[in-house]
Amino acid sequence: MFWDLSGSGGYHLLVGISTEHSWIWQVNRVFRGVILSSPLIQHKIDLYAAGLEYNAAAGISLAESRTALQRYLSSLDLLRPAKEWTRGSIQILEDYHDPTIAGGIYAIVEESVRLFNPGSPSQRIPHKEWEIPIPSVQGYVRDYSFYPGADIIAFAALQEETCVYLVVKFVAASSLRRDSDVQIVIYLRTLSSGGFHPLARCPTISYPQKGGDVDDISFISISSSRLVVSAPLEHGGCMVIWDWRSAQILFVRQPFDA
Amino acid sequence: MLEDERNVCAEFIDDYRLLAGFGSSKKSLPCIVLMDTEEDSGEVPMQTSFHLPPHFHNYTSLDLSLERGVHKPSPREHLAPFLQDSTQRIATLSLRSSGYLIFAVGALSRLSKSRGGCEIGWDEWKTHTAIPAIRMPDFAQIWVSGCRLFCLTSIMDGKVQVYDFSVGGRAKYLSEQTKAKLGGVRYLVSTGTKVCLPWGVDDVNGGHDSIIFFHVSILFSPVPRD
Repeated sequence: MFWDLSGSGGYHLLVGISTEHSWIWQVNRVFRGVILSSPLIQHKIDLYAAGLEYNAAAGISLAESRTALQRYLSSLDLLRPAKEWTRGSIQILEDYHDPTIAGGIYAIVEESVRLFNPGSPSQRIPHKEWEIPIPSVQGYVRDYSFYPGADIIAFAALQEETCVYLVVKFVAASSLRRDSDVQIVIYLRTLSSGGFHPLARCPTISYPQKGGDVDDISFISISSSRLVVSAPLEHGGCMVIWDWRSAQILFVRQPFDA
Repeated sequence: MLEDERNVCAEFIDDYRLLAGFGSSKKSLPCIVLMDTEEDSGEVPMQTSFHLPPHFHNYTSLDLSLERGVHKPSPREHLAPFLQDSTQRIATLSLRSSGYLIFAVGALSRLSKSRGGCEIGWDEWKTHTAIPAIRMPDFAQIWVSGCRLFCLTSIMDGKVQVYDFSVGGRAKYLSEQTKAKLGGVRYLVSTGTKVCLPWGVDDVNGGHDSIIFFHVSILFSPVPRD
């Protein structure tokens, strides 16, 4: 025997070799024997072939996991509606985007954010619904993104600031000039309650876009520590990447000098 | 690489890596870029560009679609017997009237790890792509869940089809038929699942192993007569 097959390295090696050769049973006799003698390895290979992976942390029996897989695959084949809910009074505001989904959770923005986890019987995820407030912003929330893995939701708004400043010209004359800057303002909240996030040093972070020609947010995406926001400009768009935990700007892409 | 004016869309595929679609501009052809934002030194993130075939040269914006926020199990999934294998996740790129291109996010990620910061030609990654055989005039809406693409082919009678890009799905459903315009990318036929929903659908979305179909009923209150 070349390695210890009881360790996870052995499992990965087996699966790696199997899948490279187009189908799982086209392996050499030694591997085939090992696979056939281990129901757990067979189950892990079945899961892998279906685009899934075994969750050892759940601590459930092999038989239960197999049953759940069969149920899952048969549901995929049948695709029969399992449940019909009626949720009245959903009024999606015109200025907001379509319902958003991330990590299996649906969000619908109304006067607050309504969140739905439809659950999954085969994956033992219970159904849950809850609601969180939208932070009070100047103007309105242009876009939002959330990541259930870090219990974080980010709301993006644009805040206009009109500045009056003195322009000194070359020839001793001077004039007052009015210009407006737009700030991209991000409000960071917990997805579970809408409160301040304990890991976010600043609950509100911003980026000033000089020139004031930003009038929307193109996209926003958040992960466990990074946040990216892009706003369209007259010729292209700016993109800003933050570490939202420390509020530090990591990278700014400006297509032209505004 | 980011010097000129281009339309961009982007989504995090894990804690640090951002999958971005850059549209074409006067100076550049469209491409898919994987940016690694892990370094917090303020330097430009390391970017691996995945070039697209000439078919895309006039795409000023790329329409990417992938499942959000799924690279790690959420706290509610800890008791699930199995999870989506994040290495087999897919994303789609719209081919406008010609349908969609499916690609394996994990394959791009592996190429980016081994050749980070490089430009990767279409011929080098096209084997990780497929075209779902969707009859386009019928198409209404698509969504991605793990390694599967779900397609709602008609809003009125809600027909749903499934395209399976998992290891098993590819072995079973990848057709020999290819699309010459994309350099011989193979078609992926549907799993044969065809569902007609009993009601019209306004919007549709999927997550975990659930699909939510939004359908709206409007109730008129009787108007009292004078």
